[in-house]
Amino acid sequence: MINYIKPECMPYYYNKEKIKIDNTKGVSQSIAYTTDGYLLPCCWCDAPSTKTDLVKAGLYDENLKLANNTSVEDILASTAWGEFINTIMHSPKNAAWCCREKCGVVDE
Amino acid sequence: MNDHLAFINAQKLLGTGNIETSNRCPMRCPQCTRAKLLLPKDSNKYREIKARIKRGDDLQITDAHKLLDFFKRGIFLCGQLSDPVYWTNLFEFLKLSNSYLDKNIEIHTAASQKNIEWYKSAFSLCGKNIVWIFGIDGMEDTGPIYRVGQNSKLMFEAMLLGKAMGINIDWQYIVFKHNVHQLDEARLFAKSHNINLHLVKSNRTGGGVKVPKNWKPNKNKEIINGNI
Repeated sequence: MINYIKPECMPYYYNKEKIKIDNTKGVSQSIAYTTDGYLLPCCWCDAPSTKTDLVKAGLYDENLKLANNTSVEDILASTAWGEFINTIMHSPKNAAWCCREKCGVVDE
Repeated sequence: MNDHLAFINAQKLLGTGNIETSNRCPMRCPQCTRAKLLLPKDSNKYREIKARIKRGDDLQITDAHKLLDFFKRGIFLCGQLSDPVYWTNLFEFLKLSNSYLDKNIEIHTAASQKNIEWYKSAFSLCGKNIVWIFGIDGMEDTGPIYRVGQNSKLMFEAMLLGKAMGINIDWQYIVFKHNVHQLDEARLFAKSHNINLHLVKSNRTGGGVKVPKNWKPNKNKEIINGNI
């Protein structure tokens, strides 16, 4: 079971004690654009094994397709993305499988 | 600043978008998502990947603009199930990228195109902001062992042509048991042609390939400068 997530797409994380730790230099994962036209937090999320979690989170809603928006910011500013990031940072046990698997920390 | 805004800002300023440009690749790399197409047709994984490829489409140039506009550093054309050299809009994109000279654009490719003339046409459209990163895991004889279907000989020719044309060319080499003995040869080749060599520590094991113990990454993936 993971204690927290140290997301490689974020400039900081919250450790086991909920203390905010800077990780600006650790931002190594960038947003991914998928073959079916959506944005995902990173390429590790673009895997069949985790798609159900992302559909549930709303990241695959038709209105979040890049073609249906005028800019990338419009998509990232959506409620679905806000809640997704909030879950990673503050409720890691409920985060998508890919985030727990790739960036989850059991002990450090 | 809240977490959501911090994420958007970090991605905008520090991120380099990882872009899937189409749903096409002719290779059969064993750990690729596409390899699930070799599973029984009534399996869930087969149906899932088949549907995903069917839903896939070529990135449109209007959307490429949106991606280039967002990421301050630039983007890289990579692919979870496609190779950018099979993107029908690639040449148009290369022309467009000359209007974004302040952005770095990386083209990560492991699938060989039809012939050297194709590469010549592609390179002739490239500005200084573009880096081609060729995924060849070994030399001509070992390259296609993991990259099944790759014409590694043509890829080497393309790298040399690119260098001769003044294009930024990098070489990404995943170290496996079957190619670890060629590292000195690769380093020498890279050095003599002034090509940046990146050695990759990976956990890939599909298709019977194995990674030497000292070339396993601590977590996920590690890339080291091979020119040293």
